[in-house]
Amino acid sequence: MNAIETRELTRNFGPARVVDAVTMEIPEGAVFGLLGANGAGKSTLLKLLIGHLKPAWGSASVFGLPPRSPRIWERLGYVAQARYLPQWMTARECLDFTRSLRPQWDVGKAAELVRRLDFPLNGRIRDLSRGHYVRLQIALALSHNPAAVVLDEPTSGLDPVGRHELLSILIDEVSARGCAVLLSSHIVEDVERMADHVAIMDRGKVVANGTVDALKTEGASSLEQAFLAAVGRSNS
Amino acid sequence: MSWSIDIADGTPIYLQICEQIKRAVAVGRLKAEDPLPSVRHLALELTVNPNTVARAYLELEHEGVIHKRQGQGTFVSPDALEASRRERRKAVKELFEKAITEAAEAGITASEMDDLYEQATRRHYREKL
Repeated sequence: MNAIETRELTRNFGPARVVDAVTMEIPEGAVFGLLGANGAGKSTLLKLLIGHLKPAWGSASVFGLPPRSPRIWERLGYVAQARYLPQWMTARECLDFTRSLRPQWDVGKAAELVRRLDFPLNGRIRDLSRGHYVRLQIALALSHNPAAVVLDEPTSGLDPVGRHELLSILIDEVSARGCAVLLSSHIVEDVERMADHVAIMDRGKVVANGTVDALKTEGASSLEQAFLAAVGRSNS
Repeated sequence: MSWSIDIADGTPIYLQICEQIKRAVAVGRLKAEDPLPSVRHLALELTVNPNTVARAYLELEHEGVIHKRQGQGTFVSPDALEASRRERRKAVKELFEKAITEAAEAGITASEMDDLYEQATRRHYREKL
């Protein structure tokens, strides 16, 4: 079974087609990179996948379940780009609250993530820096040992130490448990390091799709070149 | 032993890992039955996808450079040196063939090519001595 799949997934905001007939498959245990400039539609696509938005057309599934099923959260973790956590809670309260929602919550794992991610537990969420907010979200997303995790631009706003720690945590999730990862980014290097497979998005459409090595070697000498070429091609 | 990869290099990361391990065997930095880092450790050291490291190890296993022992990890094969020499000989042979094709396209004759080959070898070994 695929961890995540979409068929012709489409969403409009007014007249603008923000996600345009996206079809993709992410097998269990795979690391899938979603590359695109700001405004390409990556965040909207991810929100459709996890049921935070309804599609205008097409379908998506997470381990065979529709995105709006609450049961997907037994096997899925999500790191958002926007700040959606309750601002008045402390990080510790937010961890405790999320634990109450997740029967699979692993107390030891949560403690280890909190130690590795090193963010202030007693500060209010409203006072957390972007970097600390992302770190809290990563702890929330992975403490129930999900079989797949979706991360929306997680490395932007992290300092080099935080970025390295996040990538190391993802490497552990993949090698220890075969966790599937969907990593959206506009940072080509992160995708190049981490992904087996990559989809390049531009103006709502997937304009290139393949293994990192195939995109790198077919008519380009680097993933960055392939990215620029794919995005350029869709302009014409 | 420290390992590294070059993201800017157009060579796929798994091939960079394979090449590096074969080079380490060829120059004797890795010897028969030396243990290799686990997939997880090498992935963490290089900050790359563990699936990519696993793919490199699988490739090296096919080539006979390394072998897995159940529950113990991955080790350099007893005949790794020969296996990696064989692989490198194959790569050199391909380079020669490419050079010959290019020479033929440029209208260079066989005896001119002999001269070029001799000059190149002589220069190489003189520099080494």
